[in-house]
Amino acid sequence: MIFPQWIDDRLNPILVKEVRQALRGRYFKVTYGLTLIAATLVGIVCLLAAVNDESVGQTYFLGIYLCMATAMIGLVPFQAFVAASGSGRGGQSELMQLTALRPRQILAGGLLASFVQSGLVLAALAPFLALSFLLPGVDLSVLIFVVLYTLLFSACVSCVTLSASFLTENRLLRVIVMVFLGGWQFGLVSAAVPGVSELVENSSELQDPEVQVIFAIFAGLAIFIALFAFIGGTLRISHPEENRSTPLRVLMFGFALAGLAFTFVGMRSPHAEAEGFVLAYLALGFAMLLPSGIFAGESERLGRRVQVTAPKNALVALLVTPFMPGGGNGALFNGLILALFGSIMLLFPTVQPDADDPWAELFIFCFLWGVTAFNLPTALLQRWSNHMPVRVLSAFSPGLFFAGTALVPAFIGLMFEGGNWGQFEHPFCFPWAFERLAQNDSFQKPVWIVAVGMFVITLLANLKRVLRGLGEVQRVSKLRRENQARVDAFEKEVPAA
Amino acid sequence: MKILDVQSISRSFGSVKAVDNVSFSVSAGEICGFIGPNGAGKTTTMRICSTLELPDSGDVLVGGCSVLADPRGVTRQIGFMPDAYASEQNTPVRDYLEFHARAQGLRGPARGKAIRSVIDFTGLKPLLDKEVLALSKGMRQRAGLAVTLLHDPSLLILDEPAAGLDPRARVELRELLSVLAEMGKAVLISSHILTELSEICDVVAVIEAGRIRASGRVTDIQKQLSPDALYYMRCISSVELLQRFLLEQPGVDKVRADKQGCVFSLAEEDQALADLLGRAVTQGLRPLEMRPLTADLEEVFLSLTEGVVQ
Repeated sequence: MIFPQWIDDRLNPILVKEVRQALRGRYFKVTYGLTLIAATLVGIVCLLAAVNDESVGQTYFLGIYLCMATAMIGLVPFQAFVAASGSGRGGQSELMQLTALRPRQILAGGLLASFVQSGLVLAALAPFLALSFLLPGVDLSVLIFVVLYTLLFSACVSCVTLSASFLTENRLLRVIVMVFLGGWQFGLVSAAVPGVSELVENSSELQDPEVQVIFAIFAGLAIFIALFAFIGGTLRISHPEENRSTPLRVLMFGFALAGLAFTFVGMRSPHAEAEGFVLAYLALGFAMLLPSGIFAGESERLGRRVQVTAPKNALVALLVTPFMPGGGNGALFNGLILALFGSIMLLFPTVQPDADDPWAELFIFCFLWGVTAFNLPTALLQRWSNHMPVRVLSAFSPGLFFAGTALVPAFIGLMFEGGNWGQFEHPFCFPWAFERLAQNDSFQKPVWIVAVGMFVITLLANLKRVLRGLGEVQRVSKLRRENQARVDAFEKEVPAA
Repeated sequence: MKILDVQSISRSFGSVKAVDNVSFSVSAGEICGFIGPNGAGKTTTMRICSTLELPDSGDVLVGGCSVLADPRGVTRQIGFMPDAYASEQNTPVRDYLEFHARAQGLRGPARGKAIRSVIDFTGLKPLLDKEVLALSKGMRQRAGLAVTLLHDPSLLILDEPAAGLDPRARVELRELLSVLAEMGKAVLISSHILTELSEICDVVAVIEAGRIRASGRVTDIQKQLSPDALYYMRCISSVELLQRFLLEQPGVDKVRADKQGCVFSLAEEDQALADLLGRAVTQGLRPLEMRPLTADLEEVFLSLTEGVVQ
């Protein structure tokens, strides 16, 4: 087989279709043309405005970058959303399930098509970028870095918009999602231009290790969000009884491990500010809030197609139970993540308990609140977890729980003039209680009573479903072992079979 | 050989039992008409057969593969055509077929061959450069059928394929389906147009309120409904004389007269029929015509269903 044919056969069908559709469609032609016209006009204006300036190249580059960022972070990802939404109409995306394409290929095809479009925009703007380098004031390394970084962000944003297109088929909700995405992309472009301006003006900053770390963190976060969206999107278009949970849980676990490793190494560094890393560590823990709500709010039982994938080995089945779908297993997963955070905390040299340092107490306090917020509302809602609206509510329940525990007692305090409760100064208000503990003052007892009391209630509310989840995984694992034994016996008896 | 074997499937949506213990089968080369009123559970059953839905209980085997245990094995063997198909923007028919051929995993010369084959079969050659969305409804259905056939499935599941088609397009679709059945493909087709189904279907499955009321050949179902065969008789003598004669005969039942002759039922035995005809001749009725009445799908459907809506 000749080489081009070999490549042609292996091209993602969605990529081929989307690129062809985009090149034929009006949207891309208009976007492409407008970007070129805008770049030309903006370039001319910038050149005229700074023609006698020493840094004319910088001004020109920023003008071109504005056009490039608008196209690559704004318009191209938005086109990906529109195209995927169009394909989803009339059940087309559902019909894709009946082809040989896997959900990840469908999403990857859309993403690659978007990447190709970004590449075309970049190619169109290449002469302008080359001119900005030829003019005085722009460092080549900064220019290349900015272009590559924008390309990476463009891909990440496209990933999010593509996945968002599969969220709903309801037209009104799609419009709402579209407006939300549009606003978000506008915000990103608005933030990117001043950032690039700062970098271009102080190009030596790129050599600073701290700046490099910041860029690496941003890139890492963008990749994580894109990955999360990608996995979420593929799960959204996969069959309802497929395992929609395990890949996300593994990703979350990996992210938690990476984040912990980062804070751990940072805290051990002699130059690092321990307090900043501890706060980063806490933020990381609470960043898991929304996904954890999704996991603990899932339907309780394993689907039939998931049951046949349970590990046959009993010990392996026990170890992977937190990563299997199901609300009870989700609660177990949340416990695992929080326990991981708690146990690593003990390794931090700066947070060892001593008389003047309340960090250890604060960690324990956050752990108790974390377990409660992640798992108490979902445990209360578990009975109705087969209904989609309840699952959506569960997904947001940790956030709602924090808001509710602060708001409701405050409202009651306001109604009945209960001391300072009306000003959110009560032990159910997490930020206030955290502050009291941090200041090591006299309000500690009620704060601890509330935290421990809610923790115990959470444990009791979740005990049954966690045990049921563990039992179910063990049961299907045993069933698979028995079936395998039957097959082995049959093959021994009838070798030809 | 059974290609589709639906085994006691049930599916509920909330408190509504859309499909309730449904069983039937379709063999290779057979066209099965799946008929029922709106909301009877036809589309849900078809979606379960094509793995888009899962049954709460029961199973569906397609070529031996279970929709529960081996959905990929099932999708390789089915071609599913929903009632609304082909809505890609900025896509000519050629690209549309090529995209689906790629999506079905067809590579190299096999892809080109499959595309040419379905184009020839469905007669889409003159429309290859036309945009899919610009096609007429009939032609779009053809394009949909072509896509369904690309990977040479052994079972075709067609949900209301004739809805909205003009008479010519319907006749053409019917002819295409007959050819497909002759090629050995099993076809499950739902339609509201019963006269059309009766002309092409070998077997039918009648569903109402999620339950199968009857399945099998139309004549067999008719026999289940009325064990005695129905006959029509016409004579030169008056209809009243014929009616009186028939009422006197042993084994004759349900005598009903129209303007020219009478319809009656008789236990289906050749001897009894020959005796009856002999007696009519000897009594001077001078019979002109005597024929068995074949079952009509519409009548079968109406006598089986009660118009229950879920």
